[in-house]
Amino acid sequence: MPVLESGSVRQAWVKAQGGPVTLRLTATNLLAVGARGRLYTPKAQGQTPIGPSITLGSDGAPVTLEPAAAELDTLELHIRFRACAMHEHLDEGEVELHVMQDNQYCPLSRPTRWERKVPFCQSNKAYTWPLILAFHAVAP
Amino acid sequence: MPLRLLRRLLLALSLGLLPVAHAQDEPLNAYDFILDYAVPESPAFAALGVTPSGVLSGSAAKPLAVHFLDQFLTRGALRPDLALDVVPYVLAGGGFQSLDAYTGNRFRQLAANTQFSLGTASVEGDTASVRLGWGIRVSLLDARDPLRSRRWGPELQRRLIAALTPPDDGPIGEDEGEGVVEVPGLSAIYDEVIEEMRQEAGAALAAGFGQAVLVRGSVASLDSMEVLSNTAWVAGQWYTGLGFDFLGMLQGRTGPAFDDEIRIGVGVEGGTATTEVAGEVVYTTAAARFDYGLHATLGLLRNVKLVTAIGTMSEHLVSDGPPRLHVSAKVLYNLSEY
Repeated sequence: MPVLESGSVRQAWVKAQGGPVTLRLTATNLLAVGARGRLYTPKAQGQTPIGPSITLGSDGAPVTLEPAAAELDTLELHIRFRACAMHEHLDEGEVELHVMQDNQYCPLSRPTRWERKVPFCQSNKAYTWPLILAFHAVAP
Repeated sequence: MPLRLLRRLLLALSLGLLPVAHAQDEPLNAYDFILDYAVPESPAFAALGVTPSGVLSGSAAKPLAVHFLDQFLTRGALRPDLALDVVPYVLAGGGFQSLDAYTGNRFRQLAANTQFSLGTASVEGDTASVRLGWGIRVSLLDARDPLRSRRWGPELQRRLIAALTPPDDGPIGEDEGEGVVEVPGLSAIYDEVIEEMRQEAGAALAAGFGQAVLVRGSVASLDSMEVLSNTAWVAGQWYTGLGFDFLGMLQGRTGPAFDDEIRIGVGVEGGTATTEVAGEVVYTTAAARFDYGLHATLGLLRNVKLVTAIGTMSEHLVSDGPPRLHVSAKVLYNLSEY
């Protein structure tokens, strides 16, 4: 699946016509990651929230977005991530967002990889970063 | 980081027994899921016969611990004994990419729970000589090690994820960046999990072997060294989940310095994560006698504990006289913890 990046906005072409979008967040190296996202109309259209906010966790449990199919190609999913290391000595880790396409999960965002230490969870600190996914529905 | 440097230094000094090949591509430290703070007796002290407790623990090994033992009330002089316990696999950075990679690999489980130890003990009535001890101990199972539990590791992760989930702060602004933020309450989740684990019943089992050597004149040459004893033991523990645990131990010792003997010990201990009191009774075949002991563990800091013990157990390696009361105190510095 083609993915482009521009700053914190990643444009993803998702074959989403006619159905919901199912997302899954995974993390390696026993990172604990919490994420919350919400669909918005683009800024030019007032950034109106669509539907309730969703939570994603690095335990791999899927989350399904159910906007109207006609709306999806004009919406953005705004996600904030917070991650911490479940052990003291983690020097790198990866977080990846997947989307269900053709009954299988495909990477939606390139792996977010740390080259430096993320905070140890017991320090009561976490690393945070934003991500905006712009959906572009294409014919299946 | 000084602690990391210390670990690497200890790594280099650990008799070349280190599986360094695991260090480069597996950054996860196996120990960091072992939430049981109980540190077992040093295998080197067990080999030297100077452990404060007569019944050894079955709990999981800790990667790096230092024991300072003194029996000044018994000996009438301050002559501390020292032991250093290391788990080479963990100190070398040996680990795994996921919890499943550990729980599904028996070799890694054993490697991460195999402990080597070196220690010294003074010789009663001979200040010019010293006893050296070394030991190896394998923790075969421990119900308070979430690494070997398919429940507690994922449970800790689930709770952390819930606490990490950010609030709904509206659309992301153009100037919103990334960085480190405070998330209060994460540390408390670890404490919660530890306390809940303590309320569960389960078992622990460990086996060990050690050797005690007398070095005459404190000069470690082959001519000046004399093997005193070889000791092997199996120690078990049953966590009742009710605030107290049962201990059991079978220990065999042989050597030129005294008659071969078998020790059978049972005990019970209770308390909290930071404070424990235990009572024990040990039967020794060679002397055909029962010994009794009490010991208390007090957490001074999260990783520093004071162990005080009183009992009739003799060290056996140097004194086989009639039972007399021994008092000892030990400071335990668990360098594996913050």
